[in-house]
Amino acid sequence: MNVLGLDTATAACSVAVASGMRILAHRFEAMARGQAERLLPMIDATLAAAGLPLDRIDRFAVTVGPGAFTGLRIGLATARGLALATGRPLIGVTSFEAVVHGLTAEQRRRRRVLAVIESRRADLFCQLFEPDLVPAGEPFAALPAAVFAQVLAGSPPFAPLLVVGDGAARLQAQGESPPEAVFAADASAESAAVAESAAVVVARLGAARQHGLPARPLYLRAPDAELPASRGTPP
Amino acid sequence: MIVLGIETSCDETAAAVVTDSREILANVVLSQVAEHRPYGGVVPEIAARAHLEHLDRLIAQALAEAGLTFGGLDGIAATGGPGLIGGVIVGVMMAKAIAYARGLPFLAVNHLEGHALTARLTDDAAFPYLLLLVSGGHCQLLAVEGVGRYRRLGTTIDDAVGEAFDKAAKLLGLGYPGGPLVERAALAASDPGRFPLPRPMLGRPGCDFSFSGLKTALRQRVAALPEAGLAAGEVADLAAAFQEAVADVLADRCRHAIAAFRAAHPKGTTLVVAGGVAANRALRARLAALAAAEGFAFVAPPLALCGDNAAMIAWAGIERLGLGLIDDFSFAPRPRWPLDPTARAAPGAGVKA
Repeated sequence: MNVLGLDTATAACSVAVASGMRILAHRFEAMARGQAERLLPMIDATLAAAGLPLDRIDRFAVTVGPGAFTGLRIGLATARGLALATGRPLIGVTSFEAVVHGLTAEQRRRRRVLAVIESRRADLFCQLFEPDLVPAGEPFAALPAAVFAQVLAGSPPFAPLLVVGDGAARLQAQGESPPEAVFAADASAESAAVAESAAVVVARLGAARQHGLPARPLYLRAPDAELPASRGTPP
Repeated sequence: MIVLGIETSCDETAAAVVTDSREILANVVLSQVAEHRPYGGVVPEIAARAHLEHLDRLIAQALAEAGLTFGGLDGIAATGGPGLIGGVIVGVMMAKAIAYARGLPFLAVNHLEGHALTARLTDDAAFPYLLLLVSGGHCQLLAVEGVGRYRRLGTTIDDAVGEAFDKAAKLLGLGYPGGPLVERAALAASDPGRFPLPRPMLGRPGCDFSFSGLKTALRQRVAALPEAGLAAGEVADLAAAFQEAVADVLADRCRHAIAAFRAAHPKGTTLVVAGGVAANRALRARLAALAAAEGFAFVAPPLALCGDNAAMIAWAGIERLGLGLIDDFSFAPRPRWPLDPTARAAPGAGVKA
């Protein structure tokens, strides 16, 4: 099972080719913008490094968000185009899954994991996972000061919680974190390592899953649009 | 030569298959009008979400209607700009991915060039010709000298003409999008002359347009009427008065442009109108009369090819492919992309110029 994994949902562009759990090649470039220019050339370079032509790829996998407005669309439109043109299946992976599945078993031993993704707005995108990475709740969007109240409601007190993801630093900066939250000094280092391998995780999850999510975007918020206050107002 | 075209630059998600013998094998357009109507205009993020949701399905549908698979294509063309970037990106990336996967040339098409070359798809118009490009986002007069070769003779200095129709429709309580609603309302007019409206720029030298003063005058006419709301007869007469003012301005500016075009291109004898506003029958009739009076042939696309569509993108792709104008996979979508990069900016019009 050969899988081509793509990630452009956060401030990077990454591509990986997996054969089962084994990564044959991967490419990563940090960038806040410019994925539209780089993604296809990076796909071509990664396939060449893996020694596989595109017609040897059995499946595609892509991050479906939440994440950056434009980046998300770049990855999804590309992945859906590849799937359409080759007739091969496409597996969607959430940005939360891409982060938490990049942790080692040691990193998450006896710790629940809170994945925090930057929205580039006031709020943060969050989802809580059990130590074995089974989701412990639905994804949600919340202002930094409100995240922990929502996460810890109903959970046993003092259960250690590892906070990861590119939004972890901003959550930590709001200053009201409960004692059970661990932003591993390490959190930023762990997060960076995870971001670097997003496409690697996406490709492996794509290979492991029988049925992935449909490759539809996960937005977690309504579009930016306000209904007019009243009809007939001057334009 | 058969090319797949993709259009996602505004509020239509579209895919089409066109041949170099001018056959439109499929032309699928999914309008998002219903999704944007409550907001009275196009909402960029709603548009971007809808393009991503529907585009792959529409491409498959266009191929099925054409009776083809990807293997029967010679190129993939997509609108590369100008337009709403969130939508353009979806079309460009899906086109690149398909072209890459199938080993086909990728063609990034200027949306305005799609409109500009439609007359060659439908009527085999020969270069050079004079083009009036009128839509919700643009109002320009251009000398079309060849593929990729445009000289702008005039532009709006404030609103696009389709935008003016939208604003007029809103003032008259007709709804959105305004063009077809104003046209329909005007059909019932009994006395358009009872609401005199100005003709901005009429008689001035040059070929530039202005519509914001006309909109303001219409608003003042509406405000001067009794409070109780507009009667149907008033709406019809105001709509007709507005449409006639626009027709007078377009005809006057085109007359100037024909003179300038003749001087530069003595062999050119065709006036082409393109863009969504070209679907307005009253305006088409006025422009046809002008062309006849000036000894010019007049070409207006069939109504289905006036508004945004992917057949025009596929056709522009065919023209570019024929000239070897193939784009790289590193092409960056262009929210601004003037047809004539040497034309001066019109500060009040922003990207519309």
